[in-house]
Amino acid sequence: MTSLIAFFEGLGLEGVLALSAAYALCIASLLGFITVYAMFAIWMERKVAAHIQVRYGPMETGAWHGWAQSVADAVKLLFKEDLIPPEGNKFLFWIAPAVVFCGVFAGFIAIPFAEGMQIVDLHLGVFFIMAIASVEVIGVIMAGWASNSKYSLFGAVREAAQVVSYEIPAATALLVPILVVGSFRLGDFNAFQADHGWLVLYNPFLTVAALIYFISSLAGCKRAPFDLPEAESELVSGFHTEYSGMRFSFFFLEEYASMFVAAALTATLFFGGWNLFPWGGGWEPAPLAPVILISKIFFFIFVQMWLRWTLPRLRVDQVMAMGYKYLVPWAFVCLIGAAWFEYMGWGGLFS
Amino acid sequence: MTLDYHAVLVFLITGIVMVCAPLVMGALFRPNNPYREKGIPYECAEDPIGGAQVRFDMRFYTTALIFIVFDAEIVLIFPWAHVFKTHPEKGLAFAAGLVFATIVFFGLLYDWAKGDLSWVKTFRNKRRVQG
Repeated sequence: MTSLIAFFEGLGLEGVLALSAAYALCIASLLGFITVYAMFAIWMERKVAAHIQVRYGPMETGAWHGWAQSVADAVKLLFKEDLIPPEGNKFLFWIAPAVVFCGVFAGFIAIPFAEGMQIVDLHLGVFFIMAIASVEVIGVIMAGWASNSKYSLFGAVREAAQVVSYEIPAATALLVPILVVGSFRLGDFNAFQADHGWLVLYNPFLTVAALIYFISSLAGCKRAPFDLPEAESELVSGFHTEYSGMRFSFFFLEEYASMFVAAALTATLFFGGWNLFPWGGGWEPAPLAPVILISKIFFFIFVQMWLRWTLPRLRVDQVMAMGYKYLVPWAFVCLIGAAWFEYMGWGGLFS
Repeated sequence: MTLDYHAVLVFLITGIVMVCAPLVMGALFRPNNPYREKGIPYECAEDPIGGAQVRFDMRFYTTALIFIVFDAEIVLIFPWAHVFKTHPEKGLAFAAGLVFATIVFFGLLYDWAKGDLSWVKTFRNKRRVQG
């Protein structure tokens, strides 16, 4: 964004005007990106699901393989009646989708798509994304409580318990690459991996940490096999049972946006970011960087979808046991093991 | 550097506005016809018994407490991981991390033995004392 401000100042705009113009451009492009991405991801999820179950999925809307299905759904949702339960807490019900969405939306600003192609280069990037993504839980509890429905309440408290439990292994697993690189800034991870190869191959503990982070991020995004908060067969639709129309669609949008952020963190911290080959890089032409990163992100999103339509849902006690009894101890072993390797100066398959 | 965190605030506010704008816009098109049956919370077509804003399971409270302990511990270990790479005395830093992780690990073992990590709490240990 600093370069954008400089660009607008070069066009002859004054300080505040240049700043506002840069903000407006960033906000517009980010909103456009998230909307188009979410529509595409929803269509992709339906197609992946369909093909895994040997059927076609949406085929009618739009000319080619139902590509316009999500657009049609969005228009339909806009025209739906917006029901607010009269006995619930109206203010909380109203504000909950906004709280849920704004956390994930702000998380996008720290993701570097290429050298300098980042809205703000936060020096606490990883920490910031983790912190802002967990704001979502507050919104979900608000939604569940304000709906005045027992299914919503159960969904919300389950979600709170689950997301909160899986934050511990996720954060600990993210500490492993932070320890190896010695920085929170997301751009530094790309630079490090250009010299030393993908971090997932840097030492064995990082491989395990990548796996732990990916599993915990599935739970954090409420994706199957951890989709207990909205387990259709027992809780109707979980915390958004009482939501309808546009308001419901924001919960949907948030789910896909948080999948993107989780996949982006996995790709940037463990799988080389915009470096194409596992042994490092730095030679790829700069315009190719966002393409490489986004392809990796979509690969991880595809894996998330693939898991959803392959694995059965876990039981609630299995989910909670998995978080604390398996992932947390293993994440700590990874952290100390990686510190040991760093202390001994080992590691770096390609450095 | 301050600009960075102004941007965070701006984007948080934009996130909220972005959610509210389509809702306000949609109010121009969408029908608004609430009646009593629509307002009843969904309970598989039965009339709901009692309110939904009830007290809920104690286990969520235990989970939240464990989370707070571990989250505080993560916050404490974040700076350690950040400076480890550049620390002049790597051995000392490693020892400090090891001691800290050991203490946390024993805390986890204690929770585990108490049965607080199990969703379905077993009273096996208690029975053994009584029997």
